[in-house]
Amino acid sequence: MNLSDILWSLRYGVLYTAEIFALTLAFSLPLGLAVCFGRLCRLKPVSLLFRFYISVMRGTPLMLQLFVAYFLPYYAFGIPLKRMGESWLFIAVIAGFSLNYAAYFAEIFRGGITSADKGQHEAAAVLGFTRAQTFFRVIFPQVLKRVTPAIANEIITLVKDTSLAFAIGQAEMFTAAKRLASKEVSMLPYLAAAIVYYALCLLVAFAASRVEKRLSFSV
Amino acid sequence: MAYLEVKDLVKNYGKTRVLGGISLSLERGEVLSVIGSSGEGKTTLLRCLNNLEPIDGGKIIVGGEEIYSDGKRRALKERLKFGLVFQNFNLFPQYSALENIRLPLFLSEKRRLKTGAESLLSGKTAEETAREYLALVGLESKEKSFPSELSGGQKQRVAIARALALKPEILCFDEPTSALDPALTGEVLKVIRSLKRTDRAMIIVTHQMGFAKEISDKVAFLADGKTEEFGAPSEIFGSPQSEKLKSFLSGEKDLE
Repeated sequence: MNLSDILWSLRYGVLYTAEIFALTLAFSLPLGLAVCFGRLCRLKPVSLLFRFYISVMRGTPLMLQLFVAYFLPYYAFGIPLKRMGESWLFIAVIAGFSLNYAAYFAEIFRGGITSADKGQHEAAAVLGFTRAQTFFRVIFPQVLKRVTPAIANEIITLVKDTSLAFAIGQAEMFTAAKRLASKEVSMLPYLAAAIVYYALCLLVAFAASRVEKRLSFSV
Repeated sequence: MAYLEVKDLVKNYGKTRVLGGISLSLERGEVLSVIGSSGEGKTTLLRCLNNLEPIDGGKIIVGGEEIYSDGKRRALKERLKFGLVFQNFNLFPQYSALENIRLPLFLSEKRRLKTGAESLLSGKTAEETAREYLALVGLESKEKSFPSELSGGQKQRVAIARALALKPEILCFDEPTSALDPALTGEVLKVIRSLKRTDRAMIIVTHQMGFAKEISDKVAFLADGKTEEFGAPSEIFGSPQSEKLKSFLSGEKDLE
């Protein structure tokens, strides 16, 4: 088996990896913004709750969180996992990743939002902007610009973290590579997987630099 | 009663009293300059008028109606009677010069449509109107420029156009030239001079005594958070009464 054969036989694994990656991003970015709002909430109990959430998500291993997500129906509600349906594993993977990444994104957003210039809020206020208009039209674009490098960092980490789904048996690319490696008694499948991960990361870095260019104003 | 009446305005920051009884009055078409040493509450006064700071006592009366008295409910409508030009411009960096003017105009027009208030655009689009205001401050060639591409004086002129476009009845300037080097001060003062009109009042916090003397109908001298003296420029500059004003003016003269 040569490298291109191996890459071809990894295609379903790559597809799963891409799905986990894309879905996690789609859920965790908005969720992260919501968590950030919760963390910044003026009501102390709400803010404390989200603070706790963030500290647990950042303070325990992602792999362990995936286990928790997967086994939660059984341990919390006594529902046998067989009854959770075929797609439960995949749902648990996405939920685990999204909840974890939302915590990191929330802290990045928080840094961006709290460092916004007070004068921008005041200018918007005297021009009659509502709070929502001030946030979405004035502050958020500036936050976006400021947090893009940090967010890109996290997204690149996510590309590689998808391989953790292996731990609860989701057949993503790394799982597929490992199976193939033991079947063929070869290290080549690992090399193939590394190439794909690297290519995905390059893609993310490229997209991030495009975004940074689009947001070319200086804050 | 004058169009704008400020009566015994009090403002505290924590336990520190910043404004301890500001009183002044202003008619439409008049220009008021607020002078005084740094830290005497000139900026705080403008911030209170524009509802950026809640007041702790006294009254602000515009057109016979006391404003900001019933909490936040009507604050937005009342605040828009005022416009504020900041010392450091506070343009939105992500928008072009034109968009900085168009966006607030567009949003306020949307709100006006909803509440049935009179339009600001007289049949034109927000963009056309924004362009007119940009021309008014002499920057029609800079409409696509971003704030980072403009000089300080140009930024301040865009900020003036942005405030002006919402047709405030009382336009406030908070040391509009303090962040500019002397070469750029002139172009901004020229624009402010051209804005004097019968249906609009202006309040200018400034350290430019010559400019204050020339443009003002009234001058307020603040000291220790109070209106120490209030009157026509000829009185304030010609025959200052209090020792504080005398020493302030002689200090300013030494600087010039």
